[in-house]
Amino acid sequence: MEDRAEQITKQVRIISDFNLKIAELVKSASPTDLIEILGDQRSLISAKHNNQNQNGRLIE
Amino acid sequence: MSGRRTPDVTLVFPPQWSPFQPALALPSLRAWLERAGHSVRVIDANIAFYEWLLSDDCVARLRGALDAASASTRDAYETFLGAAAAFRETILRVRRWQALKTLRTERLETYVAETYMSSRALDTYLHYVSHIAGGFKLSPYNFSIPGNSLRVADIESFLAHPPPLLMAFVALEVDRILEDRPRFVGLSCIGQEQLLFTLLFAKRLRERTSAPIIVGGTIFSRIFERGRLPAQWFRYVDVFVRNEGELPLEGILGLDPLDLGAGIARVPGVIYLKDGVPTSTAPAAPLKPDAIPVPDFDELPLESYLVGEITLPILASRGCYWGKCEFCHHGMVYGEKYSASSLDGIVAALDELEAKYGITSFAFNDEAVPPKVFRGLSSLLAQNRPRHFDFTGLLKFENYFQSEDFRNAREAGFRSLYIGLESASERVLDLMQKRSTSAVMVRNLADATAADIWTHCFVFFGFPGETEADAEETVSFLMSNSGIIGSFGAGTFSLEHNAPIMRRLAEFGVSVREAHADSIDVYYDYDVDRGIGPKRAIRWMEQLNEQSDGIPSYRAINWIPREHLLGLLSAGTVADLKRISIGCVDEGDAPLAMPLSTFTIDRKSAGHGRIVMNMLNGRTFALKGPLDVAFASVREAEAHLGDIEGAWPDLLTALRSGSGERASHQEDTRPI
Repeated sequence: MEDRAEQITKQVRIISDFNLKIAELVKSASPTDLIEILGDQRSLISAKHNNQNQNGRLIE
Repeated sequence: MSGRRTPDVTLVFPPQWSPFQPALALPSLRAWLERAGHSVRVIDANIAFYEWLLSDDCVARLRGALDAASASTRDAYETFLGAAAAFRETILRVRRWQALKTLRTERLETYVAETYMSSRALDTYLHYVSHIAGGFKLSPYNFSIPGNSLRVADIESFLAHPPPLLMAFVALEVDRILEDRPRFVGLSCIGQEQLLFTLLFAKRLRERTSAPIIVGGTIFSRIFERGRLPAQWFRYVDVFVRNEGELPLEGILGLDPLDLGAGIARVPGVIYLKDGVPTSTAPAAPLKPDAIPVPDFDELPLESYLVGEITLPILASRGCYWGKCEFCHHGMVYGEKYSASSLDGIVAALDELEAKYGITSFAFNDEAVPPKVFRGLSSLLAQNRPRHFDFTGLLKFENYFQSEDFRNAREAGFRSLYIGLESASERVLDLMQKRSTSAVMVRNLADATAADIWTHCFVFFGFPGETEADAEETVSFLMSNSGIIGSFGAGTFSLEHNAPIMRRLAEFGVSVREAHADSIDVYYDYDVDRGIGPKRAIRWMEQLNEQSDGIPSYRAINWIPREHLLGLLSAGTVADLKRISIGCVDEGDAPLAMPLSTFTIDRKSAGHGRIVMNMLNGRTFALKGPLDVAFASVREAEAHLGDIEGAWPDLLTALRSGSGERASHQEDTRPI
């Protein structure tokens, strides 16, 4: 049975190999390989505003 | 509803209202009428509306609305529509916490993160539904149409040509309402956002049934009081009920539905058409809270509300014990009368609701919980059943409260309090007749905070007579007291018809602008001859909101809808919630610790490679060539953004809200 240290070493190696693969793919991309189509069109919904009604409070 | 008998009345709660909590109005009315021997069916058409918007049926209808869009826009929206099931999963995942009370504390970080993701994904989803369907804007907090929804001409135009998507829902829902052929149908309109849907439902019902259509709630009462209730709306509605609905509706149900005219003039608290003119009968007598039965939530789909913990609304009193504030017209709902429930009555109601529904979270939605009730209930529950219930409630600052009251309140289960601070200037508070003092405000807030109770303060700018120095005092107070104020909501003064200040306009230097002839607005446009006017008040509100974003503890909770707060606080401490929440906010909709699959959707597109959408903010981008391959690998490996942020920083930038660099091809960024 693998001990805990061995398991962690293996995981780190897997993540690091994965990162390397992703980094290589990203490096080989051209600037137009990422194109934005729709931006964030919403402002952050704020509890300051939500459910506020007249004079700053909820009417029920 | 096969097998049930024909209801005397089916009561309907139309959109738009919060999808996070049931409203109290109809359960309260149902309990009253059932006790009087009537059979009552209740339908929350509001939560049904939100659920339907998330359905495949709705998505299919939206697809048909995209024909005229450009190919790239269709591609982008197809990403959204094609992944509606993924949106549904992220939005509805929060509901699984309803059955996991203990785990909510053990896995607090995940509970908060999933609540955050659900709330943000719902915003995005509704944004795109509104955008694609056209003709309305919908969020969990609001519903509006282009033009002025408070002008009769615009409302009639909406009713004549409603957006097809909304009409499809109303038609389905009206079929459900009429399936067991109720003798009467009641619609409850307690918020201005419900007005359009109320009339749309009434119009459709009128086409489909001969059952009388009754509309209750305060909105139409206020329009009537203002003298602006259009006679033409009696084409859709037989009777409007004024204010408290119990006695008037009981009276109406005693009439012959085929011949209302014979007896309607004898029913108190109603508005009917007499010789072509909207006419009111005498008000119904105000009800004592202890005479009102415990609200009956039996027919509401409690598990459907979009929260991790259901909170039920409850009242400890009717009317306002203070009842003096110049800006507030709330008392009219209760005939300017106030009366509180007995402590025994409140505890019995809590016990009954817990026994029936297994729910232990309650929101006291009183205008302000009476001080003696707050002290008495807190003390009673702290002694007898510690840490059993969770409460939130509205309170007024009072010298009467001592630190022990807040310690008892916390022990009894109060986790948050909503307080009308209004202004930090004692001069303005005196003008308002609010009469709070700075010393008491600070003491109450500090005592609540020391007891680990969240405090949310309401403030507004522009009360007539307020000066620049007064407004500055309010801003300084909020900025310098963030240690004892959990959060605040800022607004501007609204001049409401029949508010006490209307009797002293000259004294306050207020002149009312004439409203358009067909306006039904119960709030007046106005000018002031001194101090802060309406435009300047908006600027002060904006300035406060901008400044307060610099304070992490305020920024941390901006996203939390009010109905979620009690549930979140019931699982941890105030400090826990602030710490976790600021993490969610500052990661800018790109959570590093969650798998990409939980907040992004993607699809292959012939023209664009792979299109990716962040469900939390709607940011959508195309990935080609090696980036397409890289994204597929990340998704497949169920990697977290935090695992690969070093290897692919641009992905983080593309997913995040407010990221500075935007790619050059912004093909469609139309704001709605």
